[in-house]
Amino acid sequence: MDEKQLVIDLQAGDEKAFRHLVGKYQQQVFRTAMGFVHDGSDADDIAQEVFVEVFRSVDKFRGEASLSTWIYRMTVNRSLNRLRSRKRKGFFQRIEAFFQDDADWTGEPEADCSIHPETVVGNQEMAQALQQALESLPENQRTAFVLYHYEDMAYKEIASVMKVSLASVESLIHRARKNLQKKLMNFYKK
Amino acid sequence: MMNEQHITDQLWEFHLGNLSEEESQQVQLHLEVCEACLRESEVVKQAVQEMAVERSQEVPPFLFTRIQGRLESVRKPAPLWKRTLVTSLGTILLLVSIWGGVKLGTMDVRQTSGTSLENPMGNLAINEMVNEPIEGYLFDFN
Ligand SMILES: [Zn+2]
Repeated sequence: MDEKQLVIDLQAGDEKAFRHLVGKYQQQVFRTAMGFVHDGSDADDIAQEVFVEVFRSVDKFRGEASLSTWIYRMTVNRSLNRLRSRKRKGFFQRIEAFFQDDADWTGEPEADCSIHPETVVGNQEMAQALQQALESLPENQRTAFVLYHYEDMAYKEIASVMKVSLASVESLIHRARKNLQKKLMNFYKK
Repeated sequence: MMNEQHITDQLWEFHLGNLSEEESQQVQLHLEVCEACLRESEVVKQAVQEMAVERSQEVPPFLFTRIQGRLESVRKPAPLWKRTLVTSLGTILLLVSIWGGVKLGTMDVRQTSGTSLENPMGNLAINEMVNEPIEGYLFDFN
Protein backbone atom coordinates (compact mmCIF):
# COMPACT_ATOMS: atom_id res chain seq x y z
CA MET A 1 0.00 0.00 0.00
CA ASP A 2 1.54 3.32 -1.01
CA GLU A 3 1.60 6.20 1.44
CA LYS A 4 -0.84 8.42 -0.46
CA GLN A 5 -3.46 5.69 -0.55
CA LEU A 6 -2.82 4.85 3.09
CA VAL A 7 -3.47 8.47 4.08
CA ILE A 8 -6.66 8.59 2.01
CA ASP A 9 -7.90 5.39 3.64
CA LEU A 10 -6.96 6.65 7.10
CA GLN A 11 -8.78 9.90 6.53
CA ALA A 12 -11.82 7.90 5.46
CA GLY A 13 -11.69 6.14 8.84
CA ASP A 14 -10.76 2.73 7.43
CA GLU A 15 -9.85 0.47 10.35
CA LYS A 16 -7.84 -1.87 8.15
CA ALA A 17 -5.66 1.03 7.06
CA PHE A 18 -5.14 2.06 10.66
CA ARG A 19 -4.19 -1.48 11.60
CA HIS A 20 -1.74 -1.51 8.70
CA LEU A 21 -0.24 1.80 9.82
CA VAL A 22 0.25 0.57 13.39
CA GLY A 23 1.89 -2.63 12.16
CA LYS A 24 4.17 -0.68 9.86
CA TYR A 25 5.37 1.94 12.31
CA GLN A 26 4.99 0.43 15.78
CA GLN A 27 8.56 -0.81 16.10
CA GLN A 28 10.01 2.52 14.99
CA VAL A 29 7.83 4.49 17.34
CA PHE A 30 8.60 2.16 20.23
CA ARG A 31 12.35 2.16 19.57
CA THR A 32 12.53 5.94 19.29
CA ALA A 33 10.60 6.32 22.54
CA MET A 34 12.97 3.81 24.15
CA GLY A 35 15.89 6.03 23.16
CA PHE A 36 14.36 8.79 25.23
CA VAL A 37 12.69 7.07 28.17
CA HIS A 38 14.73 3.82 28.46
CA ASP A 39 11.76 1.96 29.88
CA GLY A 40 9.68 -0.59 27.99
CA SER A 41 6.38 0.18 29.65
CA ASP A 42 6.77 3.94 29.23
CA ALA A 43 7.77 3.47 25.60
CA ASP A 44 4.72 1.26 25.07
CA ASP A 45 2.52 3.92 26.62
CA ILE A 46 4.02 6.59 24.38
CA ALA A 47 3.48 4.38 21.33
CA GLN A 48 -0.21 4.09 22.23
CA GLU A 49 -0.49 7.85 22.71
CA VAL A 50 1.21 8.50 19.38
CA PHE A 51 -1.13 6.24 17.41
CA VAL A 52 -4.20 7.61 19.16
CA GLU A 53 -2.99 11.08 18.17
CA VAL A 54 -2.39 9.91 14.60
CA PHE A 55 -5.90 8.49 14.46
CA ARG A 56 -7.44 11.70 15.77
CA SER A 57 -5.47 14.16 13.71
CA VAL A 58 -4.94 12.36 10.42
CA ASP A 59 -7.67 14.60 8.97
CA LYS A 60 -5.31 17.52 9.39
CA PHE A 61 -2.41 15.74 7.68
CA ARG A 62 -1.70 17.71 4.50
CA GLY A 63 1.32 15.77 3.31
CA GLU A 64 3.86 18.60 3.68
CA ALA A 65 6.14 16.06 5.35
CA SER A 66 6.06 12.32 4.85
CA LEU A 67 3.82 10.24 7.06
CA SER A 68 6.81 8.74 8.81
CA THR A 69 8.36 12.17 9.50
CA TRP A 70 5.02 13.29 10.93
CA ILE A 71 4.82 10.21 13.17
CA TYR A 72 8.45 10.59 14.30
CA ARG A 73 7.76 14.20 15.21
CA MET A 74 4.85 13.15 17.39
CA THR A 75 6.95 10.44 19.00
CA VAL A 76 9.76 12.86 19.83
CA ASN A 77 7.32 15.40 21.28
CA ARG A 78 5.50 12.82 23.36
CA SER A 79 8.79 11.36 24.62
CA LEU A 80 10.19 14.75 25.60
CA ASN A 81 6.94 15.58 27.37
CA ARG A 82 7.14 12.33 29.27
CA LEU A 83 10.67 13.15 30.40
CA ARG A 84 9.65 16.65 31.45
CA SER A 85 6.81 15.32 33.57
CA ARG A 86 9.13 12.67 35.03
CA LYS A 87 11.53 15.44 36.01
CA ARG A 88 8.72 17.44 37.63
CA LYS A 89 7.60 14.31 39.48
CA GLY A 90 11.17 13.67 40.60
CA PHE A 91 11.42 17.20 41.89
CA PHE A 92 8.27 16.86 44.00
CA GLN A 93 9.34 13.43 45.19
CA ARG A 94 12.62 14.90 46.40
CA ILE A 95 10.75 17.66 48.21
CA GLU A 96 8.56 15.00 49.77
CA ALA A 97 11.63 13.02 50.78
CA PHE A 98 13.12 16.14 52.27
CA PHE A 99 10.17 16.54 54.61
CA GLN A 100 10.08 12.85 55.43
CA ASP A 101 13.73 12.26 56.04
CA ASP A 102 16.42 14.94 55.94
CA ALA A 103 19.15 12.37 55.41
CA ASP A 104 17.95 11.67 51.85
CA TRP A 105 18.18 15.26 50.78
CA THR A 106 21.31 16.10 48.86
CA GLY A 107 20.04 19.12 46.98
CA GLU A 108 21.83 17.74 43.93
CA PRO A 109 20.07 17.08 40.64
CA GLU A 110 18.88 13.52 40.22
CA ALA A 111 21.54 12.76 37.64
CA ASP A 112 24.22 12.89 40.28
CA CYS A 113 22.54 10.99 43.09
CA SER A 114 22.41 7.34 42.25
CA ILE A 115 25.65 6.41 40.53
CA HIS A 116 28.42 5.07 42.71
CA PRO A 117 31.46 5.09 40.46
CA GLU A 118 33.63 3.16 42.86
CA THR A 119 31.58 0.03 42.19
CA VAL A 120 32.63 -2.10 39.26
CA VAL A 121 30.86 -0.90 36.16
CA GLY A 122 28.58 -3.65 34.94
CA ASN A 123 25.87 -3.57 32.31
CA GLN A 124 23.33 -2.20 34.75
CA GLU A 125 25.59 0.66 35.78
CA MET A 126 26.49 1.41 32.19
CA ALA A 127 22.81 1.53 31.26
CA GLN A 128 22.15 3.93 34.11
CA ALA A 129 25.19 6.08 33.36
CA LEU A 130 24.26 6.32 29.69
CA GLN A 131 20.66 7.14 30.50
CA GLN A 132 21.63 9.91 32.89
CA ALA A 133 24.23 11.28 30.53
CA LEU A 134 21.65 11.35 27.73
CA GLU A 135 19.10 13.02 29.97
CA SER A 136 21.55 15.76 30.83
CA LEU A 137 21.92 16.73 27.16
CA PRO A 138 19.98 19.68 25.77
CA GLU A 139 16.77 18.44 24.13
CA ASN A 140 17.84 19.20 20.55
CA GLN A 141 21.16 17.36 20.93
CA ARG A 142 19.40 14.43 22.54
CA THR A 143 16.77 14.27 19.80
CA ALA A 144 19.33 14.29 17.00
CA PHE A 145 21.44 11.70 18.82
CA VAL A 146 18.52 9.36 19.50
CA LEU A 147 17.18 9.52 15.95
CA TYR A 148 20.64 8.75 14.60
CA HIS A 149 21.72 6.11 17.07
CA TYR A 150 18.44 4.37 17.85
CA GLU A 151 16.73 4.76 14.50
CA ASP A 152 19.67 4.71 12.10
CA MET A 153 18.15 7.74 10.47
CA ALA A 154 20.00 9.67 7.80
CA TYR A 155 20.97 13.24 8.64
CA LYS A 156 18.55 14.49 5.99
CA GLU A 157 15.60 12.68 7.60
CA ILE A 158 16.59 13.93 11.04
CA ALA A 159 16.72 17.45 9.65
CA SER A 160 13.20 17.13 8.34
CA VAL A 161 11.85 15.63 11.60
CA MET A 162 13.50 18.38 13.64
CA LYS A 163 12.84 21.12 11.07
CA VAL A 164 16.47 22.24 11.11
CA SER A 165 19.23 22.38 8.50
CA LEU A 166 21.51 19.49 7.63
CA ALA A 167 24.48 21.37 9.07
CA SER A 168 22.63 21.82 12.36
CA VAL A 169 21.97 18.09 12.61
CA GLU A 170 25.62 17.37 12.01
CA SER A 171 26.66 19.83 14.66
CA LEU A 172 24.03 18.62 17.15
CA ILE A 173 25.14 15.01 16.83
CA HIS A 174 28.79 15.98 17.10
CA ARG A 175 28.16 18.02 20.25
CA ALA A 176 25.94 15.33 21.74
CA ARG A 177 28.67 12.73 21.27
CA LYS A 178 31.34 14.98 22.71
CA ASN A 179 29.19 15.77 25.73
CA LEU A 180 28.32 12.12 26.26
CA GLN A 181 31.96 11.06 26.01
CA LYS A 182 32.90 13.68 28.55
CA LYS A 183 30.16 12.72 30.97
CA LEU A 184 30.77 9.00 30.64
CA MET A 185 34.53 9.47 31.03
CA ASN A 186 33.95 11.49 34.20
CA PHE A 187 31.77 8.72 35.46
CA TYR A 188 34.49 6.13 34.93
CA LYS A 189 37.32 8.30 36.23
CA LYS A 190 35.77 8.88 39.66
CA MET B 1 54.42 9.81 23.49
CA MET B 2 51.81 10.42 20.80
CA ASN B 3 52.55 12.60 17.85
CA GLU B 4 49.53 11.59 15.82
CA GLN B 5 46.13 13.20 16.00
CA HIS B 6 43.81 11.63 18.56
CA ILE B 7 40.85 9.78 17.14
CA THR B 8 38.15 10.47 19.74
CA ASP B 9 35.88 12.05 17.11
CA GLN B 10 35.74 8.83 15.16
CA LEU B 11 35.00 6.47 18.03
CA TRP B 12 31.21 6.29 17.63
CA GLU B 13 31.33 5.55 13.93
CA PHE B 14 34.18 3.12 14.56
CA HIS B 15 32.16 1.10 17.05
CA LEU B 16 29.03 1.34 14.93
CA GLY B 17 31.05 -0.22 12.12
CA ASN B 18 30.44 2.72 9.82
CA LEU B 19 34.08 3.52 8.95
CA SER B 20 35.79 2.40 5.80
CA GLU B 21 38.35 -0.36 6.17
CA GLU B 22 41.19 2.10 5.86
CA GLU B 23 39.77 4.52 8.43
CA SER B 24 38.99 1.68 10.76
CA GLN B 25 42.56 0.39 10.51
CA GLN B 26 43.93 3.83 11.33
CA VAL B 27 41.77 4.02 14.42
CA GLN B 28 42.87 0.57 15.49
CA LEU B 29 46.54 1.41 15.03
CA HIS B 30 46.13 4.56 17.09
CA LEU B 31 44.35 2.69 19.87
CA GLU B 32 47.30 0.34 20.15
CA VAL B 33 49.61 3.20 21.06
CA CYS B 34 47.40 5.79 22.78
CA GLU B 35 46.09 4.91 26.18
CA ALA B 36 43.87 8.00 26.49
CA CYS B 37 42.00 7.21 23.30
CA LEU B 38 41.82 3.52 24.24
CA ARG B 39 40.11 4.38 27.52
CA GLU B 40 37.63 6.60 25.76
CA SER B 41 37.11 3.94 23.13
CA GLU B 42 36.11 1.40 25.78
CA VAL B 43 33.50 3.79 27.16
CA VAL B 44 32.02 4.52 23.74
CA LYS B 45 32.04 0.80 22.93
CA GLN B 46 30.03 0.02 26.05
CA ALA B 47 27.59 2.83 25.31
CA VAL B 48 27.08 1.56 21.76
CA GLN B 49 26.54 -1.97 23.07
CA GLU B 50 24.03 -0.74 25.63
CA MET B 51 22.11 1.15 22.97
CA ALA B 52 22.03 -1.98 20.83
CA VAL B 53 20.39 -3.85 23.71
CA GLU B 54 17.72 -1.17 24.07
CA ARG B 55 17.17 -1.02 20.33
CA SER B 56 16.61 -4.74 20.14
CA GLN B 57 13.69 -4.63 22.54
CA GLU B 58 10.47 -5.58 20.77
CA VAL B 59 7.28 -3.63 21.13
CA PRO B 60 4.99 -5.57 23.52
CA PRO B 61 2.41 -7.66 21.62
CA PHE B 62 -1.18 -6.57 20.91
CA LEU B 63 -0.36 -2.89 20.63
CA PHE B 64 -3.23 -2.39 18.21
CA THR B 65 -5.71 -3.85 20.70
CA ARG B 66 -4.47 -1.51 23.41
CA ILE B 67 -4.78 1.47 21.08
CA GLN B 68 -8.31 0.39 20.18
CA GLY B 69 -9.12 0.16 23.87
CA ARG B 70 -7.92 3.71 24.40
CA LEU B 71 -9.87 5.04 21.47
CA GLU B 72 -13.06 3.31 22.59
CA SER B 73 -12.80 4.48 26.16
CA VAL B 74 -12.71 8.05 24.88
CA ARG B 75 -15.28 7.71 22.14
CA LYS B 76 -17.88 5.63 24.02
CA PRO B 77 -20.25 7.91 25.95
CA ALA B 78 -21.24 6.95 29.49
CA PRO B 79 -24.42 4.84 29.74
CA LEU B 80 -27.74 6.70 29.70
CA TRP B 81 -28.57 6.04 33.37
CA LYS B 82 -25.20 7.48 34.41
CA ARG B 83 -25.64 10.64 32.36
CA THR B 84 -29.22 11.12 33.66
CA LEU B 85 -28.09 10.63 37.24
CA VAL B 86 -25.23 13.11 36.92
CA THR B 87 -27.47 15.73 35.24
CA SER B 88 -30.22 15.35 37.86
CA LEU B 89 -27.81 15.56 40.77
CA GLY B 90 -26.24 18.66 39.24
CA THR B 91 -29.62 20.31 38.76
CA ILE B 92 -30.72 19.49 42.33
CA LEU B 93 -27.48 20.87 43.71
CA LEU B 94 -27.89 24.06 41.68
CA LEU B 95 -31.50 24.56 42.80
CA VAL B 96 -30.58 23.98 46.44
CA SER B 97 -27.77 26.54 46.20
CA ILE B 98 -30.05 29.14 44.59
CA TRP B 99 -32.74 28.53 47.23
CA GLY B 100 -30.17 28.78 50.00
CA GLY B 101 -28.79 31.99 48.55
CA VAL B 102 -32.23 33.58 48.26
CA LYS B 103 -33.09 32.52 51.82
CA LEU B 104 -29.85 33.95 53.17
CA GLY B 105 -30.29 37.18 51.26
CA THR B 106 -33.82 37.86 52.49
CA MET B 107 -33.08 36.89 56.09
CA ASP B 108 -33.75 39.68 58.60
CA VAL B 109 -30.50 39.96 60.43
CA ARG B 110 -31.80 41.83 63.46
CA GLN B 111 -34.59 39.34 64.08
CA THR B 112 -32.61 36.15 63.68
CA SER B 113 -29.68 37.24 65.72
CA GLY B 114 -29.99 35.86 69.20
CA THR B 115 -26.40 36.53 70.09
CA SER B 116 -26.40 40.28 69.88
CA LEU B 117 -25.30 40.67 73.48
CA GLU B 118 -22.40 38.26 73.34
CA ASN B 119 -21.18 39.36 69.93
CA PRO B 120 -22.11 42.91 69.08
CA MET B 121 -19.27 43.24 66.54
CA GLY B 122 -20.65 40.38 64.47
CA ASN B 123 -23.96 42.14 64.09
CA LEU B 124 -22.30 45.40 63.27
CA ALA B 125 -20.44 43.86 60.38
CA ILE B 126 -23.56 42.28 58.92
CA ASN B 127 -25.57 45.46 59.37
CA GLU B 128 -22.94 47.46 57.57
CA MET B 129 -23.25 45.14 54.60
CA VAL B 130 -26.99 45.68 54.55
CA ASN B 131 -26.59 49.45 54.47
CA GLU B 132 -23.68 49.59 52.06
CA PRO B 133 -23.99 47.60 48.81
CA ILE B 134 -21.17 45.06 48.53
CA GLU B 135 -20.30 46.20 44.97
CA GLY B 136 -19.56 49.63 46.40
CA TYR B 137 -16.31 48.62 48.02
CA LEU B 138 -15.44 45.66 45.85
CA PHE B 139 -14.90 47.80 42.78
CA ASP B 140 -13.83 51.04 44.37
CA PHE B 141 -10.06 50.66 44.17
CA ASN B 142 -9.23 54.32 44.11
ZN1 LIG C 1 44.93 9.30 21.14
